Amino acid sequence: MEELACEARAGSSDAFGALARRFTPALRRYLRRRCAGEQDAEDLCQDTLLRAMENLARYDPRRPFGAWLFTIAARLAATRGRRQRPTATLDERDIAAGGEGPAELAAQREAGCRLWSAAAATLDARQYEALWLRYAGGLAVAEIARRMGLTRTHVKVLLFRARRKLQETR
Amino acid sequence: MWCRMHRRRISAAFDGGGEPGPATRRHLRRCAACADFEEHCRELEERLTLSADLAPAPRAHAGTRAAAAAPRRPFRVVSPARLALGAAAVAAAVVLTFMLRDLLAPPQPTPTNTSGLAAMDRMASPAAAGTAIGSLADAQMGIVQGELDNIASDAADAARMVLAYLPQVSPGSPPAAATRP
Repeated sequence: MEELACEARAGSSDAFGALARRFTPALRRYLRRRCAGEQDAEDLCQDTLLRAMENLARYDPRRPFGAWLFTIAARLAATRGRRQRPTATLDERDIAAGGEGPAELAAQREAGCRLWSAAAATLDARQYEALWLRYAGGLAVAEIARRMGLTRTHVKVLLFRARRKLQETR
Repeated sequence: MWCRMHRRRISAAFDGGGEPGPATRRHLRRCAACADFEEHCRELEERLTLSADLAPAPRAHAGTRAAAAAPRRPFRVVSPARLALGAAAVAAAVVLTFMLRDLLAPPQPTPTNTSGLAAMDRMASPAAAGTAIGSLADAQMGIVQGELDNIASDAADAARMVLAYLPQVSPGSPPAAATRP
């Protein structure tokens, strides 16, 4: 994934297209929770990808690309939330105000860090590896299957069990 | 029982990037536990992705190590020196083939009847030369005649063979099956 990001940074629009295709569904899900409506989330998703493309030179390839992209999305959502606040209805404001400022973003990252530690302690080695490749590596199931030498169904089962186990230990 | 199936589908939707199907959507409206699982999956995706750089790296299991160790060479890179050597070998083979073809080729057949030509060389007068030309023409005619005889004989053989395959029909009897000679 980071290789693709490096290629995109070097000017490959194909590589950026592949990255966008890979992360758009997750970004959309993420932004839906932080925006007042579906259309808003879609706009913000496009804005996030556009901002990422413009700022690819600032991307540090040592960091996971997904984390960088989600940080951009979180900041854009927070900015939009602040802008919309005066005109939004009470319900919309509640949703939009859930967008992250720097403090909220830091809190979320800390919660994520705790979650990673819990995952490393609770899951068995293969489940953790599949989860790590999925979220830290940003890989699709087919790619994880190839790397781990398993079938796609097996990887999906590993991820399902990992999620269930993490829900139980929550 | 259905909850487990729907949760699998929810998990798979997070992996495939799509949405769960309409049946799972309907189930989620009724089942709070499954809705909670979906919410958990969403939280997991957000938090783990946002803090991906803080994740402790996993110890690769045997399958991953084997998959990583397996040689994956989609195409062979040939060095220029090896390429030049190959081209030289092909060129040498072509040249040798042409040289050996002349050396190893069977001797060309010589004319069988050169007596007329030899006689014509020895002749000094035009009349003797005319006689020699006449004998050469006779010899050539003999060869042509022999070839024509051979062709006629082959044609006759072929005709006999075709006739042998045709059904033998005799008056008042049903046609007999063709028999091989």
